[in-house]
Amino acid sequence: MQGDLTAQAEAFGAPSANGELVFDEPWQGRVLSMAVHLSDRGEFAWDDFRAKLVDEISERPEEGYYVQFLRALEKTLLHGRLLAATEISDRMRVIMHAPHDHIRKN
Amino acid sequence: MDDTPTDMRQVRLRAEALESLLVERGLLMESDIDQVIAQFEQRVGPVNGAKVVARAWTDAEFKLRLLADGTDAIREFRFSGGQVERLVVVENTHVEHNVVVCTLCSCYPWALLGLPPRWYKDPAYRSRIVREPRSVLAEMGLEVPASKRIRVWDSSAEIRYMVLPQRPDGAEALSEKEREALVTRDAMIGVA
Repeated sequence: MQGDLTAQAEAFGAPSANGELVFDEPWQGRVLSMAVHLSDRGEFAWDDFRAKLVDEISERPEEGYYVQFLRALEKTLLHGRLLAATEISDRMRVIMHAPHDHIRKN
Repeated sequence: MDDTPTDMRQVRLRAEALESLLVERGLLMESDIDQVIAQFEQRVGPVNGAKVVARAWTDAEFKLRLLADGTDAIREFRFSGGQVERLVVVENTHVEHNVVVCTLCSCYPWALLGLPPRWYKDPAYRSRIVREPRSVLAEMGLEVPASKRIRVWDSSAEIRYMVLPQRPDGAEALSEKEREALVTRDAMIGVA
């Protein structure tokens, strides 16, 4: 599957220009990669994720594509009980208060 | 996720929290992500930066503006996204070579250069390029003549640097597209 990432990404509608995937920010590439990897591992079915993404896109058309993508991924993980909502917000708090004066993951 | 308006800092934080929890659970390794990213990197490429460089190579007036105020000069390209709060473009000449690093983390002008290469985030590159730039560059395949001064630019939270490579001989005879194809990501970081 990774051999044909662009085709796969385009199949679910990721923005692209001249056949290249377009990321405005690195986290976008990381969440896309997380989703591809987890579905490759069989942690969830790509179609289930895709259905949630389609819902997000139609429910929140004003959001950027990768915000919708991240929300869909998070919902898929919560739905499959791979992660719990509270631990996600707890972890965000921990990272936010970690000492660093730059953007942590670029 | 709740329904409050999207704060991009929160979004980045959320993405980072997910990754960190998934790694902790053993559902993925950071190297898995890096591997997929590496494939994206090949495709995303530094097309925007290349456009800027190709223009500066042939448009002297644009080059002056670019070196004076990078942020302002690239506005006309209307690149989307990308956190270039303040872009400083530094020019390679026959007496000076420039190279960019972020010693504290991995700040990078990704609006122009796409995703940062993995070595850019590597602690070894980040610390050594400052202390011994000439040998690190040589190890990366770039021999800078002893007659040339090397300047190392350390990114900060606000400033992003991009190197304007020297125009190769004969480039002025090429088309704009052909010129763009000559500009590599590594040249704009200053390691090639």
